[in-house]
Amino acid sequence: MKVKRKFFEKNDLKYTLMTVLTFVVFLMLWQVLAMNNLIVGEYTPSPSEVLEAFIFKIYNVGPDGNLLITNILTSLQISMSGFVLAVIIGVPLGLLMGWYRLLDRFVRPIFEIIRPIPAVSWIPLMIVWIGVGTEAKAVIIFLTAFIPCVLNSYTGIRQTSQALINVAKVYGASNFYTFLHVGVPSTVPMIFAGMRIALASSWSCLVAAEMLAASAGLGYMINMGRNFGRADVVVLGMIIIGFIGYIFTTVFTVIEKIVVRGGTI
Amino acid sequence: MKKLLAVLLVTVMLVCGCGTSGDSDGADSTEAKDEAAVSISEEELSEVWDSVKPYFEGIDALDEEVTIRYGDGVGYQLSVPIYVAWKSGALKELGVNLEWYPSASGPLRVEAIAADEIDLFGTGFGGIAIGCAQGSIKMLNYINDDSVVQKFYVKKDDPLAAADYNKAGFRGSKEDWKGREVYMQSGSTLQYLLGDSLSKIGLSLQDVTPVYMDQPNVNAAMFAGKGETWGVWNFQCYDATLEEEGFVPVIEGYDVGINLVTGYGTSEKAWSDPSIRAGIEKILEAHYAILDWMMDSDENMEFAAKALTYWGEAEGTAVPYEENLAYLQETHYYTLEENHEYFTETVENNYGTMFKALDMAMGAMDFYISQGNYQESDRKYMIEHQEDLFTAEGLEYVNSVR
Repeated sequence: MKVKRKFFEKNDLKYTLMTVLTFVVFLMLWQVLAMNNLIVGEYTPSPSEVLEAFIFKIYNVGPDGNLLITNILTSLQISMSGFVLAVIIGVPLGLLMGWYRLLDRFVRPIFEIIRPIPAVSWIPLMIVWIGVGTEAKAVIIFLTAFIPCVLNSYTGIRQTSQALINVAKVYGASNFYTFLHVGVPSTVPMIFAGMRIALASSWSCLVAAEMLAASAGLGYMINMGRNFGRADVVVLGMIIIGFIGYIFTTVFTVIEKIVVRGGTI
Repeated sequence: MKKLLAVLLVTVMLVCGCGTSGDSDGADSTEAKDEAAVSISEEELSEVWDSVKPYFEGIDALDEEVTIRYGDGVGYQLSVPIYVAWKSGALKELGVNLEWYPSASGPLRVEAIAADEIDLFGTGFGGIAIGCAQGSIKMLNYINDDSVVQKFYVKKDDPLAAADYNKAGFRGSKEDWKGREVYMQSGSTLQYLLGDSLSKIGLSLQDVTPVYMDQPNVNAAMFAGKGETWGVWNFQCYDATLEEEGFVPVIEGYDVGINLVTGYGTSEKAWSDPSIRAGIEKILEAHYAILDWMMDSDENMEFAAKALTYWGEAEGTAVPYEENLAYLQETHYYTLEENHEYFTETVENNYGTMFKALDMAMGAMDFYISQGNYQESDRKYMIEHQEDLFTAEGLEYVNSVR
């Protein structure tokens, strides 16, 4: 008999309180250390200064020339473009490489060479090839997010149960049909895991991408905060990147649960 | 097979070992690269160093050697005096063991001094402004006027390249500049130069499209033909390749009359340490001795240009000797007397009474505040704490012993 779960069970409440308490203790500790100049660098802002910077940036453009919301939207546009591109290209490529040996032999050596190259090192070439616009920054993000998409899809489809493949073959399914109806569905959890890593990577790569060139964005705001000695703005940018990254992960986990709710093969 | 593996292993170890030893002293990258092939011969270099040494006669050495951690860039005109004093062995003779910490910009050096990673640094206005606004530095002097090495370029087929000079001293009219895409280093003095120049023809930075990026990226975009106007600074302004590639300067800092100072800064902590302070004072003495040497004759200035050329080549930022010479000749280095005036005499301006040294920074501060980069509270802090931020103690020491 299925037991209906209470919305808030006792343990849930306990864990939520523990999480909140951790944050509160962390913030209090940070505030005390910063107020007494006990954090290395002496100029590390306190949480209250970061909060002031947050309120300031809602209505003011200094020191980077943009409102906070403009920076957030610009960064979202860049990171999402790179991420979507990485999913559209990376997931099918990984699936095909994992299923078709010939393609694997052909693509994998190039992929393995590209894989360890840091995204930042592509910047000079991107400038020459694409320029310094949104496209170039999206490509820098793409190069970071692309790797986990390919790897997880590749690994996932290679773990498809041989018994299921054999059953499909017995029933006369073609190789492509088996790939599409057995291989791909069995890989969905791994694809989602890869996409989640890619999403986090694309968001955390923002500062590097916006080093390429920018007039707005959270990475740009951090760089400008550094250039003008505004540690509070730098920390604010870092916290917002972290916070939005957390929201992304949470939303993505919910989507993942909905998509794979029916179970996989 | 075992032998082959052993040989491979030894080879790998040797290669790794060599690589490690070369990089072991990150503080002094030039030392490691001194053996690199450069166009300046050993003989010419020894002439440079020999020529410098007589200017150090009569300067007393410290009783005990002191190590000074110095942060600065590579191949900048502001760093030439200290570089020559260091590489000629003069600082060593005075009992100062200089450890050079290369860093790309003034703001980075201010971060380093605030974290007590260095004791002394050379910086342009960017570092001076941040350091003073944060209260993390103590300026000891002004080295030179940086305005000759701040320029904006366009390609020669750009209409702006053929436009007439306006009353402010740069090319183009209001219409020529409106909407123009300009690539430049973020938060740099180039931003000030552009904003100040545009304001003289009734425009602001909001009327053009500034695109901010690191200087190497500006250079990459420039030579790849991406963009339409590029801001260039330091020795790159004297790079003949720019002219060969068809780039034409349309705004030149010196011509539009901006004042951009560079200087040596330290921290309160370093300045309070008697041995570090003694070492820094010796460096200041050496700085002015080298300036005397450079200004004494054309030959010495040529020697300084050779040293700069050697330095650039050893560090992979090669600029030909002729361009380095022009670069040094056009640079105005502030004398000890000028510095003494700036750091001891005060003036009245719209913001109150202040040292001339601080007053010289007010024009740039006006601009940065108008852009929202700094706030009036930063300026107020600078004025209220000017006694701590600008000290003439080092200059007075040099005056007392010369």
